[in-house]
Amino acid sequence: MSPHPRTAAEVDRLDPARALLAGGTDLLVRRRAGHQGGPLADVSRLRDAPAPVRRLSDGSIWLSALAPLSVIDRELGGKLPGLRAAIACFASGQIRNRATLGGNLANASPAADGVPPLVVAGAVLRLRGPAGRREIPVTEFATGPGRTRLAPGEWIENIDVPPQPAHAGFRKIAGRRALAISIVSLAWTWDRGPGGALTGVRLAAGAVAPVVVRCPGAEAALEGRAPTPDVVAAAVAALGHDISPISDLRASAGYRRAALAGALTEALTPALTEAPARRNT
Amino acid sequence: MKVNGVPVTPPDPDARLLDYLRDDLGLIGAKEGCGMGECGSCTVLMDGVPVCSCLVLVCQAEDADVTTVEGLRRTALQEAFVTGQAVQCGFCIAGMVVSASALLAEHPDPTDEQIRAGLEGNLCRCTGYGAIVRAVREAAR
Amino acid sequence: MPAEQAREIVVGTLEYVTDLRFPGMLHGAVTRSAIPHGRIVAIDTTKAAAMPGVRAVLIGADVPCNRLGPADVDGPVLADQRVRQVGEAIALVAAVDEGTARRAAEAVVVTVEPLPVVADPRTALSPEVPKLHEGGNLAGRIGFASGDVEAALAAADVVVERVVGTGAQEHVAIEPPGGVALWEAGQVTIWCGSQNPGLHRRKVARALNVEIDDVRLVAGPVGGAFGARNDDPMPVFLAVLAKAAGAPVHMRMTREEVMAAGPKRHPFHTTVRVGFTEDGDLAASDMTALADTGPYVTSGPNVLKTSAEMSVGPYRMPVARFDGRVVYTNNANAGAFRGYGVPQVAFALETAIDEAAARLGMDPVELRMRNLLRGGDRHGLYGHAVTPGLRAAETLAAAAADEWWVSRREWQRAARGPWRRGTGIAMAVKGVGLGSGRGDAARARLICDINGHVRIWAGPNHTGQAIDVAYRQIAADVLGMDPARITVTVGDSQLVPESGATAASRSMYAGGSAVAAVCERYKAALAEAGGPARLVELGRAEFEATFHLPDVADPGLIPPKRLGDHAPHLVYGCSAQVVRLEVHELTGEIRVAGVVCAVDCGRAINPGAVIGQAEGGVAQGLGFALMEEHRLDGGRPLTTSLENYLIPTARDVPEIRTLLVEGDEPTGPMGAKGMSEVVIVPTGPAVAAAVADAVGVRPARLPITPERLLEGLR
Ligand SMILES: Cc1cc2nc3c(=O)[nH]c(=O)nc-3n(C[C@H](O)[C@H](O)[C@H](O)COP(=O)(O)OP(=O)(O)OC[C@H]3O[C@@H](n4cnc5c(N)ncnc54)[C@H](O)[C@@H]3O)c2cc1C
Ligand code: FES
Ligand code: FES
Repeated sequence: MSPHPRTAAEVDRLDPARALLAGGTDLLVRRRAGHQGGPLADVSRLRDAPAPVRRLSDGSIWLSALAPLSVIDRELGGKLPGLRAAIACFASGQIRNRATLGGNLANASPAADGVPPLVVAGAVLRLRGPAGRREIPVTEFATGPGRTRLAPGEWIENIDVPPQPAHAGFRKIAGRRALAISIVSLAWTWDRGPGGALTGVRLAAGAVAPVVVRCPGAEAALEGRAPTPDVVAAAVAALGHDISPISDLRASAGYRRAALAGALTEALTPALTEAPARRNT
Repeated sequence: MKVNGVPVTPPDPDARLLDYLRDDLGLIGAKEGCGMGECGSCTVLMDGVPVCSCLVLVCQAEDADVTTVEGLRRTALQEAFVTGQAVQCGFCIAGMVVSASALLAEHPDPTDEQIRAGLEGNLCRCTGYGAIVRAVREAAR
Repeated sequence: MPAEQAREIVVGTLEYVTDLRFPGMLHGAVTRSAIPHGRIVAIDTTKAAAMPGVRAVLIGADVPCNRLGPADVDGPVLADQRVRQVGEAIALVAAVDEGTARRAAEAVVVTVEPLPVVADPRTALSPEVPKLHEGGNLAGRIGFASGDVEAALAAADVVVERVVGTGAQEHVAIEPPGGVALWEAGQVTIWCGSQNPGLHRRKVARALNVEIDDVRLVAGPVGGAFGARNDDPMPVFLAVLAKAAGAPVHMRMTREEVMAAGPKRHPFHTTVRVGFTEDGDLAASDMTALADTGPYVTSGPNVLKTSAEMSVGPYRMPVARFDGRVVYTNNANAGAFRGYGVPQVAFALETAIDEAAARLGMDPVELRMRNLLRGGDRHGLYGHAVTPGLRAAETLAAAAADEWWVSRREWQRAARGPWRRGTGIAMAVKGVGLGSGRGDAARARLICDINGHVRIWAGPNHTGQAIDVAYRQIAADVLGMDPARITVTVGDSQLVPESGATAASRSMYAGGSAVAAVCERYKAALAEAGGPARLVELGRAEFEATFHLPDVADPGLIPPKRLGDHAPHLVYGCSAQVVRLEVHELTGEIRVAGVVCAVDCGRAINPGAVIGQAEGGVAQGLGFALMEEHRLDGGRPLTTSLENYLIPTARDVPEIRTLLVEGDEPTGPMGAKGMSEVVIVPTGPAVAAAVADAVGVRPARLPITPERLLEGLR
C-alpha cells in the first residue's frame, strides 16, 4: 500500500481505484470474505479532518463524515436525539469507536442505522473529490444496496443537518439487544401543535426497501392531526404502501411489515413512548 | 506507534493490528474468536478507547497509543476477576478486562446496566456474564 | 479455572493451545466441500503443491487409514469418494504461513458431481430419498414402552398433545478449534482441545496406523467446549499433517469454518401426548422423536438414548412409551452438546405439563410437585430405582419460593405500554455419567514425596469448569491436608490415566470419586508405613485407583442383557427454573428480566464454580430458547458467521439467581454430583411458559424469534 493521505486535498488527488478506508468496520469485514481486495487509502487520520460536530449560528449542525460514531455522540450533547438514539443501539462500543457516518452512508446498506435519522433530519451531504465539491441531499445519495451517487474518487466530508423540530426518535428491531443488524428501523421527527396535532412529520424506515426510505403516505396520514387511535391506524395502513420489504435470513417481508407498523404505533402512542423502549429494546 | 508505552515500528502496514500484536510482538492476550468485530476477544485500547484489533490495520494505528491487556495497570480489576471466579475458559477474558477498564475509566461507579452496556461487544460463552458483571462492580468499589 | 491459571489469563499471558509456537512450525489449512452432497470425480492438488511456501498437500488417499472411527458411518478423515456436507474436509495443506496455506487450500481443485440433497429429516427415511450410507438413512432407533400406553391415555381424564420442534444450536466456544502437532522419534504430541483424550488418541492411532502409546494429547488450555470437542477431527488433522510435512504444524479454524463444519445440537421434531387424572396425577406419556444427525453418526444414537431416558422428566409415570429415530441428512453434522438430547425432549414434556395445568386449572408448581419422583422412587420409563440423593421436590420448592415466582402477579400487573409481562417455571432432570452397562470408569494416579507433597493426575480434564480445583479440594478433604501442598494435573494423556470424556456431567462425579479413591489408598498406606518418607523409601509412593460408576442395582423393566442399550442412570441431578420476561405485543420482541436457577448439585464442593456453571448454562439456554438456530437451505448453511448466528450478549442475559439445593449424594465424592448440563435444560420450557403467561400463546418451536412469536399472536 502506498503512503496514506494525510490531508483532505491529498484524498481528492488519490487514484480513484483505491478504496477509502475509514473505520474499516464494513470494508475489512468484506475483505475477510474475499471481496474488495484492491489497494486502500486510510482516511481515519487526516490532519485537517473536519471537527466531529460543528454548530453553526443558524442552528444547523455539521457532522464530520470521518469521525467515529462515539465521538459524534459525545459531542452532540442534547442535540439530534434521533441520531443519538440510533448510535446508542449501533453495533457495540468497540465498533462505535471506529465506525463513521461516512462509511455507514457510503456502504449504502438498507439496514444502516445512521441513515434514517439523517433522512428525517433532511441532511445534506457535502461531497468533494477530483472534480471539486458538491452537495447532495441524503435522500438522493443511495441508489440501491451498496450503490451510491458518488463519482469515482469522490468522498463525503461533512453532513449538514438543518435546524430540527422538537421531537425526534429512533427505534430498531433486531435479533438481540446489542451487536445486531436491524431487522427494521424507524426514525421520526415532528413538532406538536395545539391540541397535540403533529406537524412537520417525517418518517424514514430502514431495511424495508432497497435503500432507506421516507414514508410519505404515513407522513400525510399524520400531518396536522393528533395521533388518536384512528389516525394511528390510518398511518399504519398507509405505511404499508410506503415500503417494499423482502424476506431474507433475518426476517420475512411479512414480519418486517408488522414490526415496522408496531414501531410506528409505539412511537405515536404517548402512553407507549413513555415506556423505556425508545432505544433498541 | 506505541504499544503498552513502548515505541515500535511495525514492518507491515497492511497487517491487522491483532496479527502484529500476537505474531510480531508476542502479545498473545488479545485473541481471535471471529475476525470480524463480533466477539470482542481481540479488544485493545487505542488512544484509550476499546476497539476490535481484528478490524484495525497497522497503518491506521501508526501514531496511536495501543494498550493491550498485558499493559493494563488495574490490578484491582484483574484481581476481582480472579477472586470473583469470573474466569472460566478464559478465552474472552482479556477482551473483557480491557473493555471493563475503559468502562471504569469513564464510569468509576457504574450501575449494572452501564456495566452490561460497557461489555456488550464482548461475547462470553461460559459464564453467562453474571460473575463478570459482579467482578467489575466489585473492582469499582 | 484454578486461581493460578486465572491470574495468568487476566494479564493475558496464559498460552492456549492455539497460541503455541515452535521453531520451524508450519501452518495448516483445510480444503472443504462447497456443496452438500456429491460424488468426488477428481482432486487436483498440483497447483496447490506448486505454490511457493507449500510443504505438504494431503488427500484421503494419503491417510493410511482414512476413517474417523471403526465404521463407515463414522466418516472419513478426508472425503475421498463422496462429500456429504458443506464444509466437509477434502484436503489438508501445510505451508510456511497461514495465508499461503489458506490460498493453497483454495487452489486445490475438487471436481464433484452433485447428488440430490437430503435436507429434510422428516422424509429422510422414505424410499425415494437417496441413501447417504449403505445401510440407509436410519442412524439409530430406540423404542421402549413400560406398558399399554394407548389404554392408559384412553382412560386419562385429560390428554394434552404437543407437536414441537427445536433448532440446531452451535456451541460457539469462543476459541475456534486448533492447536499444534509435533512428531519426535516416531511419537506425536498434539496440543489441542479435547473432551475425550482417550478417544482422540485412538482416532489418531487408527488413522496413522501407529500405536496408541505413541500418541500424546495435551488437551488444554482451551477456550470452551460444551461438547464440541468430543467429535472434533482437529487432533487427527494436526497429527496427519505434521507427519506428512515433517515439521510441527499449527492450525486453527476460522469462525466461518466452525459454523459450516463444526458440530451442532441435534435438531428434533418431537410429539408428546401426556395424560392426567382429573386430580392432576400423571397417567401416561407417549413421545415420538426424530433427530437429525447430519451426514455421520457421531453421537447421534447415544444422544437419543439420553432423550429416551429423560423423556419422562423427573416424574412418576405409571405407563410411558418412547419411540425415537435419528437419521442421516446432508445438513450440519450434529454431535454432543451440553444437555445431550435432553433440552429437546424436556421442551416437549414441560410445555405439555403447563398446558395440562392450564386445562386442569391447577398451579404449574402444584401439578409438578404431585408427580415428582422422590429419592429412591422408580424411574418413569424404565422402572429402575433412582438414587436416594435425588432432590427434585426440594429443587422445585426452592425455585417456587423465590420472590420472582411468588410476586409474579404483582410484577405482571405493573407492565407498561406494549411490553406485557409473564413468568414461567420448568423442571428438568439429567443423568450423571454414561449410565449403567457402559463400563463408565475414571482413574487417578497419586505420587507423594518425602515431605508429604502430593501430586495427583486425574481426568476428565477441565474445559472451563475448574475441575482441577475441585479435585484438589476433594483430595485435601480426604487427606486432611492443606490444599496448597497438593498439585493436580488434568488433560495430558501421557500423565493422566485414561478416564473417558469430559461429558455427561461426569467430571466431578466420576473424576472426583477416582481422586477420592486414590487418596484413600494413599491414606491407608501412609498410616501403615508411618509417614511419606518411609513410603518413598519403600518404593511405595505411587498409587492408582479406578472408580467405576455404579450401575443401577435393579434394572427394573430393562432386560439385563440390554442394560447398555438403554444405559439407565442411578444418579440424577435436577434443576428448576423461573423465567420472568416481557413480550412486546406489537413487535414480538422478548426481553428477559430475570432467571432463578435452582440446582440439585449434591454437595457444592466449589460453590463459585457451581454458580458459574449454572449462569453459563442458563445463558446458553436463553440463546437456545430465543435466538440460536443454525439454518440451512437445501443443505447449504445460511448462518455462516457470528454476524448472522446470534448468541446472547451481556445485554441479553439478565440477573440470574442461582439457588444451590445442596444434599448428599451417597455415591458421589464428598456427596457431590454433576450439574453443569442439567442447568441448560429447563430454560427453554420456562421461557415458553413465561411467554404463554404474558400473551396467552404457548410457543411450539425454539428459538422463539420475534417473528415466530408475532405469528403466534395473530
Ligand atoms: C460487528 C459489527 C456490527 C455492526 N453493527 C452495525 C449496526 O448495528 N448498524 C449499522 O448500521 N451498521 C453496523 N455495522 C456496519 C458498519 O459498522 C457501519 O456501516 C459503519 O458505519 C461503517 O463505517 P466505517 O467507517 O467503518 O466504514 P468503512 O468500513 O471504513 O467503509 C465502508 C465503505 O464506505 C466507504 N467510505 C468510508 N468513508 C467514506 C467517506 N467519507 N466518503 C466516501 N466513502 C467512504 C469505504 O470506501 C467503504 O466502501 C456493523 C459492523 C460490524 C463489524
Ligand atoms: S476477533 Fe475481533 S471481534 Fe472477534
Ligand atoms: S470464560 Fe470462556 S468465553 Fe468467557
